[in-house]
Amino acid sequence: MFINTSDTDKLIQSILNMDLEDDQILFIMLGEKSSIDIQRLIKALNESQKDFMGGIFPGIIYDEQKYEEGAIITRLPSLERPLVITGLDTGNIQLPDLKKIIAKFDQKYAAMILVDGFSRNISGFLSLLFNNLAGSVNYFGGGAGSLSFKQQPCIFTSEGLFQDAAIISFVKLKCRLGVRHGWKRIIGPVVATKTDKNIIIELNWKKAFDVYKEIVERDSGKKITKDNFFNISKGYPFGMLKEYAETVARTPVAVNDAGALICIGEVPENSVLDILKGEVASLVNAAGQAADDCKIYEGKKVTHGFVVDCISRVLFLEDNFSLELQAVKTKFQSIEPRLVPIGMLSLGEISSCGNGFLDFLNKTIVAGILYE
Amino acid sequence: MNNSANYFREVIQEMSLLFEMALATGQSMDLRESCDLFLKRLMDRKDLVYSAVWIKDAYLTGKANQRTATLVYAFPEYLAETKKLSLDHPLFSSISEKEYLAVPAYKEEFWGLVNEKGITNGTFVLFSLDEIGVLKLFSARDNCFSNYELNQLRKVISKFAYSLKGCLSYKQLLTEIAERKKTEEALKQSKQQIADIVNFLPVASFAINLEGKVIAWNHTLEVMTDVKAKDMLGKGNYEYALPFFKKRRPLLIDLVLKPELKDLIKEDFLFFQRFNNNSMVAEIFLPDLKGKQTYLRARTAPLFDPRGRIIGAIESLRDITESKKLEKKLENARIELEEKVKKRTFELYEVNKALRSEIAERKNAEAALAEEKELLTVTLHSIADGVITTDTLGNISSINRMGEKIIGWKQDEVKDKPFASVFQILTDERMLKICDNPLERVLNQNEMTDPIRLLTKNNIRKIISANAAPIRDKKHNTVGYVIIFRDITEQKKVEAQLALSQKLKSIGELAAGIAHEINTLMQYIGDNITFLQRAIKDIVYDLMVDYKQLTNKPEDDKIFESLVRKILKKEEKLGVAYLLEEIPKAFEETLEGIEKIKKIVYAMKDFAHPGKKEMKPADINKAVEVTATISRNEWKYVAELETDLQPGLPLVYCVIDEINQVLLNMIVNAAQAIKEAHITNPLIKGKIAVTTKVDGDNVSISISDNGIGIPKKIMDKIFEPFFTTKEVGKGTGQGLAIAYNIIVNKHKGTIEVDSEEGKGTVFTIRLPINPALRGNKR
Repeated sequence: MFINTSDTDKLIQSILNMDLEDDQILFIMLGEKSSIDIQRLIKALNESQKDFMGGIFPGIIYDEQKYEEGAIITRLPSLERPLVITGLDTGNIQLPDLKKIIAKFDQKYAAMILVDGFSRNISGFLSLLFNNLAGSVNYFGGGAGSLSFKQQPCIFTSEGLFQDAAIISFVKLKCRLGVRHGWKRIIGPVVATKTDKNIIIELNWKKAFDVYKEIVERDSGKKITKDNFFNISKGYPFGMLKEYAETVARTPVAVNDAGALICIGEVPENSVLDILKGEVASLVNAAGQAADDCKIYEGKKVTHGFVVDCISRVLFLEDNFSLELQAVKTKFQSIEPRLVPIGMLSLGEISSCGNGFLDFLNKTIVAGILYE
Repeated sequence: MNNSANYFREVIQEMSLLFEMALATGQSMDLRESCDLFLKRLMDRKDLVYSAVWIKDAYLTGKANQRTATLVYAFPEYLAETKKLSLDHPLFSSISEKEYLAVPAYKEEFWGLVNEKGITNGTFVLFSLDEIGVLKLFSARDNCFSNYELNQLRKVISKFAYSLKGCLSYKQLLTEIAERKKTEEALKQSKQQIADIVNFLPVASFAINLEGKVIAWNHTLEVMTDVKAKDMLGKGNYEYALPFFKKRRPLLIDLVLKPELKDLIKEDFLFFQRFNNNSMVAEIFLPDLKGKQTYLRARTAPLFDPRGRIIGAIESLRDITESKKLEKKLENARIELEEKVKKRTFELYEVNKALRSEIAERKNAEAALAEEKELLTVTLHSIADGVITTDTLGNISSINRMGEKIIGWKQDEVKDKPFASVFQILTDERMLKICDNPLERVLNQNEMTDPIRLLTKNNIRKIISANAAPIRDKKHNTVGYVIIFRDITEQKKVEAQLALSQKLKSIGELAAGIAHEINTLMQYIGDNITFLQRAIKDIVYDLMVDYKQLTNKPEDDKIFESLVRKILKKEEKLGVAYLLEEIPKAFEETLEGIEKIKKIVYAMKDFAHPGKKEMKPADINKAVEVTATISRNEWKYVAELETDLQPGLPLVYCVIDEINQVLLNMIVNAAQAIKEAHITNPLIKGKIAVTTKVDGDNVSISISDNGIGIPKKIMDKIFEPFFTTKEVGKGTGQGLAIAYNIIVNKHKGTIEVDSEEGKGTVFTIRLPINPALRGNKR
């Protein structure tokens, strides 16, 4: 359900009017410009004894449109109450006994994951989660937060509103995922010779900004400075090499005073990187392909069509972004004609990609079909 | 051009993999982190599902003979099912002579390698980590690595193996350092514990380390020497000898660490004994310890660390000056007693052989006493205090060797056990119940002298004295308890022997009087026998001849008449009428004398016989009679003794031997009080009256005299040990104290005294018919 409002009371009333079965939780996606009083929302939902999880995102997706205001609320059958994991700022992350929880599962279900997209230890958290669950569930989700790049509390459950945290909900539905970005290599390799988690300090043993600037300016023909950095860098992400799959993209979003590049997501030291470039056609095509990858056997009851789409794709595609959503909708409805895509514009995406371990993605679209 | 670009791209891709992997090795000295950094990169690049590092246990533990390996790293751990494998497992045997091996699922060997959950299809790739173990990778694809890729990775993984060896060495080094620190800490703690325990010991004690420096000097020793611990701790070069000998020299404690020093100091020992456990006991005389002549008994033993290595020695010192003096007094008393007994024995031998057997018995008892005394000496030389320490919950943390010896439990057996489970105190006289909380009992014990009955591990009952105190840390928090105890079973035996000695002393003193009594009777019997001998000779040998002639009936009447006249004349001369009247009386008196002697001898036997010290029903009236008889010579010259004994008095449950002793002391005291009252006119006789009767649940015995009486000012002291009003040498001051102990403490009876100075004294003893039913009363 999409509720196009910024009025907290109205939103609360709409949510309270929704019927909820015992094993269902509410999944709430809010556009960051909705100016909803989250604490009041949490209090009201707690008083009505409804279980819920949600996040505030740069934008939300409903059908083939994106919105910066309003809310999307959907019911999900849940296997457990949503779990809140804290400590993503320090890396001191304590998981509950997940083995005990999944021991109750009779098949491979979906795990919906929301994280604060500006936390420094998202990769560490995902690695720890994968270490405990491996391929026993299908993971998908994304990073919440504000496009202002200012970190603030952005994910919530009945336990409160959190920053530097993650929320996991085990959904009692099966899931098929597609993960693509469509960014193409223009030059490489360059080596991230010195990094500190999500900060690239050196490229090819030189100041990272100097190397990046030289390559991007040559290709774009534009002068790149600290002030216009993101306007240009949103079209030139890094790609970490990976066999049998697309490179894992990393978006540099800012440059600091020391000339280091700040990215969304970690870049391991000594990673061999390509510099990628976007083209409208390849990105739109990749989105359609991701949705197409979700094809399932006929006869299954499809309940949800989710899209987790990186905000940087919106910034890059600008007006063409609607083409990407149309492509997704078309593919989804080829699977289930009445399926309306819902989702969020994220700061980083989460999906089990290929057979290997869970990674925090950038510049990527994750499409997911949930079915019974 | 495109082909060339693709080729270039492929080479770059392959080299970049090697580049990344090469730089990912050796990034941490921590084994797990090192694996994590290297293998996650590899998994990410090659889209692997699982990686695991198995290390042979021989390299993890340093024990070469181990034939197993441990899973030290797995990602994701969720898949790992087995964490320990035998080296015979295919994981190791399949690659034993290879550097790497790829096994896809369509090969049968694949299934022998599966020990993860959920793996059904794909490829295992194994790399030998040199000799230390195996790297196991799993890809869901059938062809994740081509042969040339495996060959490429071989070298990087070989470097990875080197880095793991470095991690293992580093881990071992850390373990060794931690172990060493732990040992050093344990040693430090051990030394501190020793110092703490020594400080709490009630006996003056100090300890030295292997360098001969003082590591503990307790408060009791500070008091003994006037040297403060702060002035002595850390001092070496025999400084600790200065307070005792005024010069630096080895002490007994030094013999633990340097036995060869014994020749230097052995002449100072009055007594020396070495035990198997390298502990030693010695006695020394110090002419000037704080200005006084002092005897010390020193005991020393080695100190051990938790591994059983000697780390120093401890010496405890007990001031035995007073006990030496008492020992000396006791010895003198014994010699005096022996002299008296010898003298009296000779006299008695002459008077009546019957008494010889009694004397022989006494000699035997004396020998037994000497033997016991010798045993006591040895026991005393080897005795020392047992020490147990516990934590605040009463769980035992240590016990010393003497403690082990006393309670029968070894240190290993009692460590961490509740104190109550090994220190079993028997709570009642008949020793049938075990005290629930022995620690509280000894903590509440005011004096070490109160005896406690203890049941040892081997169910041996021992009498001990014990005391306990809390161990406090520097902030005065209680951190545990120290229990000091001493086996006084032997001591209690000796006390019993001393009681016997007291009895023998009484016999010795009475012997002369009894000898005189018997001698008087024998003289009287002898006179009667002489009279009878003469009378019978006169009648049988003189008159019977004439009577014979008369019975032959002479034919001549003149001869017959002459014979009759002769007989009548002779009868008159011999006083036959008197003889016929006196002879039966003489026999009667002789028999009476013999009966009296017999009574004295039996009374003596009853009194002196070393009966068992156990309670049994006894006749108090008989005890009064026996005691009055054997003490007759003590009172007959100064008083008449009257007895008023209630017939049919019930038997009293008592140790009759001890009651006899009490009655004797009372009667002799009464006689002496009367003698002193009539000192100016010894011809006036006083009166001693002994009466017995039933008094409720008691039998009461009253001994009254009309002697000098007891002054009021000393009335409170008469039952105190060593209190006497008699001249030096005439009384020990023990008589009434012993009486009090026997009647009140042992038999739970009462003694009352009613006295008026110049008029006389009445002692009333009440003995419960069954003292087990009665508590203490005075």
